[in-house]
Amino acid sequence: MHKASSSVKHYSYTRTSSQFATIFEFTTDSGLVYGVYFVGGEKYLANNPNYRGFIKEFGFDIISANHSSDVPTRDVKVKYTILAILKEYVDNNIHSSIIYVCDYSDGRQQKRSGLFNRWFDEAENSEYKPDVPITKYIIPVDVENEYGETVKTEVVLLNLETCLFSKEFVSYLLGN
Amino acid sequence: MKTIDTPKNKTFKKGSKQSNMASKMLDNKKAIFAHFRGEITSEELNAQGIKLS
Repeated sequence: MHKASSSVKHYSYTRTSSQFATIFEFTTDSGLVYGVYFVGGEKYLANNPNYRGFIKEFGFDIISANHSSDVPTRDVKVKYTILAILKEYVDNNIHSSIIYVCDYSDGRQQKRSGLFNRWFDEAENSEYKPDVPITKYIIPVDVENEYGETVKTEVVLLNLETCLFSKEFVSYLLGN
Repeated sequence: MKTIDTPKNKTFKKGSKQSNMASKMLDNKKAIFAHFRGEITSEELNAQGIKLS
């Protein structure tokens, strides 16, 4: 397990890696514990074994919420911590593109998408900008929520130009 | 970071591979966090095709 150095802008975090996944965790000042994961994503791309290691599924959420009720709900350090983790992961895995889905389980996927896209845009002019060029593809999809309703969300591909299969991923994800 | 928005009128419909992918990714996220919270075991996670360690 690696303990990252702390800074003013983001929380310190732990990293646990295996041959299958990399997991990060951090705790906010208000006691929220966040988890961030990167796991194999080749299963989404026709399960092509050649893609193993070259496409990672990314996600993050709150693991536990042992906090008092009077804490602020907005915490800018969460944003910077997610960006710091993404940068660390990308800079150390320059051959792996990343996919994620905007969580639509609570109906807030559009807000989530807008927020996360803003985070990425802000990272461009900050210390959190990854070292390798990335093209972000935003792919709108219709999905069925738990109530059987059709809702819109987005699959996002963070395609690293240093990824061997970057063109194949775009072709697959944007093709019929 | 260069951003490429797929036109909104090109939304991939239910039943498409992209829609199925989104559903599966959300299911996996729920399972991974259920595991983080101690609600399901590594074996149960593996049974869903998700390996963490």
